[in-house]
Amino acid sequence: MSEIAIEVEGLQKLYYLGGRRPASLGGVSTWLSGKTQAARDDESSRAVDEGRAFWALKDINLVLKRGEVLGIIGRNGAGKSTLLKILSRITAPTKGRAVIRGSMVSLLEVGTGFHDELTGRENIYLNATMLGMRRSEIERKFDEIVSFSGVERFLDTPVKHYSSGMRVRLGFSVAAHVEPDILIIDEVLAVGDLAFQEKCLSKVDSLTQDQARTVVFVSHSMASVASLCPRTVRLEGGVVVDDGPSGDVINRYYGQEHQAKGIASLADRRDRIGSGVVRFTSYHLEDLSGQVLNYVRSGEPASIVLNYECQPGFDGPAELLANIVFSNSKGVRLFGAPSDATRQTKGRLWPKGRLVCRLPEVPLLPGNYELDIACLRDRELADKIMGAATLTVIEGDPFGTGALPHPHFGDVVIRYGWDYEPSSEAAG
Amino acid sequence: MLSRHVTVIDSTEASLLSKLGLAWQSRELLTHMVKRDLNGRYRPASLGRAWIFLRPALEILTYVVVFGFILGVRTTEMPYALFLCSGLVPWLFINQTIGGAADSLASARHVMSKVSFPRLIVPLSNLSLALIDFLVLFAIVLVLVVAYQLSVGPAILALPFFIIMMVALAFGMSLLIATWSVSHPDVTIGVPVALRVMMYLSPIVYPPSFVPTAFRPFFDLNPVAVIVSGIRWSIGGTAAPSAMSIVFAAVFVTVVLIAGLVAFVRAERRMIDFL
Repeated sequence: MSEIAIEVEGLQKLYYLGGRRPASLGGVSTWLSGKTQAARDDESSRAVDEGRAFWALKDINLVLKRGEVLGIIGRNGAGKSTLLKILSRITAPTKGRAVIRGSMVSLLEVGTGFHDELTGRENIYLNATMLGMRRSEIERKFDEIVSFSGVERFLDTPVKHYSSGMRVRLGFSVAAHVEPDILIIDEVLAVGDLAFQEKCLSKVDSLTQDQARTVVFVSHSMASVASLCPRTVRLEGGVVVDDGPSGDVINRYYGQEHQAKGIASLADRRDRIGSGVVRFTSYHLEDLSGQVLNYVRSGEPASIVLNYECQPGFDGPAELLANIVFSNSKGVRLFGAPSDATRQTKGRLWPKGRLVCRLPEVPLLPGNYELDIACLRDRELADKIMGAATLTVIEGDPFGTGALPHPHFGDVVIRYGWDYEPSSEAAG
Repeated sequence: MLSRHVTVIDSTEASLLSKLGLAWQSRELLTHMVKRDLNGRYRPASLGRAWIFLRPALEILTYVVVFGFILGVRTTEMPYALFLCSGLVPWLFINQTIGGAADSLASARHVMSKVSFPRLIVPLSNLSLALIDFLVLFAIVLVLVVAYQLSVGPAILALPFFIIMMVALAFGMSLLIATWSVSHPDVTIGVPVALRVMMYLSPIVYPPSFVPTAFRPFFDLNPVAVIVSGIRWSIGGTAAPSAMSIVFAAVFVTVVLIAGLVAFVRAERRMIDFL
């Protein structure tokens, strides 16, 4: 077997809007009319010009070695799912080709084809057959699939009586026991409750650990791409715009996404109050080594730097109160960081200087946050800007688990742990 | 779907034969899908699989009452009830196969958008379901033939031929209609009407002798008429269709089947973009 597992050359896909194509489906009539490739190309480009069609994939080129684990990222509409559908042979490309060496299974959904009236057992067989497993293979893995799903007791109950969680667990168990040479996984696989999600991700992880298995993993979650895939490509407008080690590709992606957000000039802001003896001139983020950041990661250290200018005569030692108030995107105040609470008010002002707020761990879930900033000199308000800057937080891994609390519980993430203990009487 | 060795994905279509080969390899999936629909359809009903008989029985009863008693249609060679059954059972099969073609694709849309499998499995499963109903009902017709003590002659040997023709015609038409319905929703709407017309143009509820002689040549061009008459002739000794009409029907059916397979297979990989 060759060392190359997947080879994609100039892959293109044209979609007609509204799902209607003028002629037919490339069925008998086009066959009879004997249209040439050139004539069809003309027709396509005319359709695109007239806004009746668009290129979902413009020109995708990609080579994957055997055993490689590739992440695919990109915005909605970048072409991720179209590429996935073509590689999975769900739809055909308009031009170009892909060569796949080895057996391949794609997992785009859990529990595809489940039928409500059938029992769990029957649905395991149906779903596994759809994923390309042979009867003997299913029989061999049946017990394993059932015990992984944890629905043993309901195996002979129609799945319509299952909770949505049970359904998903059963579906994932089947998918997780398919063992092809090449695996294509859509992010939707990490589903269910928290405990099961963890089980899913570690199963996916062990599937990708197999040296001989080539994996293509598509996801919106940068954290899971970063942890599962050494290499990542980024799609944008139907072409591959970036390809390389996952960390680099993800950083460049965020760098581009949030270019204007990391540094904000404040010199021209008029919506400020205070005496003006101290004026904020700009804001930016830094990491521990002083490197300017465009964004920060949940749970990782960062410094918020406020540069200022001080009017002549007001510099020198002073009693200072600097404060940053963090609000979420809905405008709800989450917390503040006033310097008086930490008794750090004995300070000094320079003609040009910086107020640095150090956060040992950014306690925020991924998202954008508004910062209000203020500075009091000798208990007199010198400068205050509401909504001075937007802080962009991206996924991090504060617990080393790859997981973060669900934003439903709130925007703040703190360090915590749980113990499970008997009560003191029981222990005594 | 599993694929061994090298798979090339491009815009060209594989040959019909290789696609038929792939469909054959997926016969386990076909079995599971047929089982799913069979169990899914009847399990929740309290009468369960009895509905396989009940549904057509009620339909046949309606026709017996309307045409036999109210309109007073009489047949010479076999009792009208049996005449009706022997025509309606094949017709119900054709009707179910062709009428269900577009729907079967539409209801498989979700699965087709998530899993790759030979799309031919979808119309094949539609065909298999109709065929199961047909075999059950036709067994009853044969029991009736025995019960009525009709003299069964060597013509019975021709029965498989007419049944194969019936299956090929229904399958071929269902493939053409399924393919067309994807890009032309009008087809889905028009098919039930066309089927209803077709039923009355064929000798299902009336004997061919009712047809005025002037129209007989056209009537003989209808392959459904030939198939139904052929089946009746082989089991009940009614008048045989003419040799010419049988030859024409056989050619017609072959062309429809091949055209249907070619059309479907050429369109199958792009269907999901339009469904």
